[in-house]
Amino acid sequence: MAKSESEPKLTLWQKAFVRDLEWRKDELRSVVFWLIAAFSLSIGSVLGVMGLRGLPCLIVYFVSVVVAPSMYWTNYLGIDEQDFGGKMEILNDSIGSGAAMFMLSWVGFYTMLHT
Amino acid sequence: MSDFVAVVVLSLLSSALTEALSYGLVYRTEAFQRLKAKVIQTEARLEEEKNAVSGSGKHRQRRIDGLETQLADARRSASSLQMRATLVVGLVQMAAIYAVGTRFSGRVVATLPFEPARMFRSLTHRGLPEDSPVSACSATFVFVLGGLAFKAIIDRYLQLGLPKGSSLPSWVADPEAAITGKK
Repeated sequence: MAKSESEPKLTLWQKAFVRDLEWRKDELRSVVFWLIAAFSLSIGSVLGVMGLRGLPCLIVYFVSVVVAPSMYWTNYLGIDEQDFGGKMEILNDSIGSGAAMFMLSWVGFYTMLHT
Repeated sequence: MSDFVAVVVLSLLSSALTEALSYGLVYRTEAFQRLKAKVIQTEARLEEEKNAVSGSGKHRQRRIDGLETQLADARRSASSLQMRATLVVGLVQMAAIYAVGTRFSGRVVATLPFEPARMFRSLTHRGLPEDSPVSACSATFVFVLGGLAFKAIIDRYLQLGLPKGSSLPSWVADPEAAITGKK
């Protein structure tokens, strides 16, 4: 789809809040990386502050870190993930660091408030 | 808690140092900058070709194949340049992990909100007494987690290295095409 020349050029973060635009793979992966980073820190902090523990928290995290971003790009951005090589191609380099951030915030807040 | 914060800060500093080393040894060199520009340019042309609707299938496919070969060659050359940084960075990280482990040896810096699997206990309990509780966490584990997190953030924020290409092998990203041989 050709862009009209009169359309203003949006920054990456402005694009992230507009539906049905054209995306390049590197742009989408950047936005998803930061989204997962913020999501992981938030989930870890909430679980740590609430003092929740155990395997169910890990399961909830790993399921939601895949489901939430893919719902965002499918339902909100209107992207077909097959155009970018599939869900794992988009998430691949974000999940490892996201999991580390989740663990760090979860362990940190739990240690601070509940021990 | 202060030990936990100290280890996280050390982890951040260590990640920043390794990124600075990579920049000094590789990223700022002319050769790497040239290869990086070539990778960016080739990826943009490849995406244009893949999205183009005009042109005959066979000729377009040949151009796509040519561009993919160029891209793979440029990435391979850049990776070989990065090897020298990888060695130095690896040694620095090992030294940092050893130093942190020694400095905080025997001290529980955090409490894990879960029971770690047996295969991870050698990491979560590194340097701790044998009788420490299962949920006790060593400085080494926190340092490694911090390293993973901060390295990725610094790398993504500064974008000094190569652009992240297709990270999965083609047979994982598109198994059907790999089996049928169709593109």
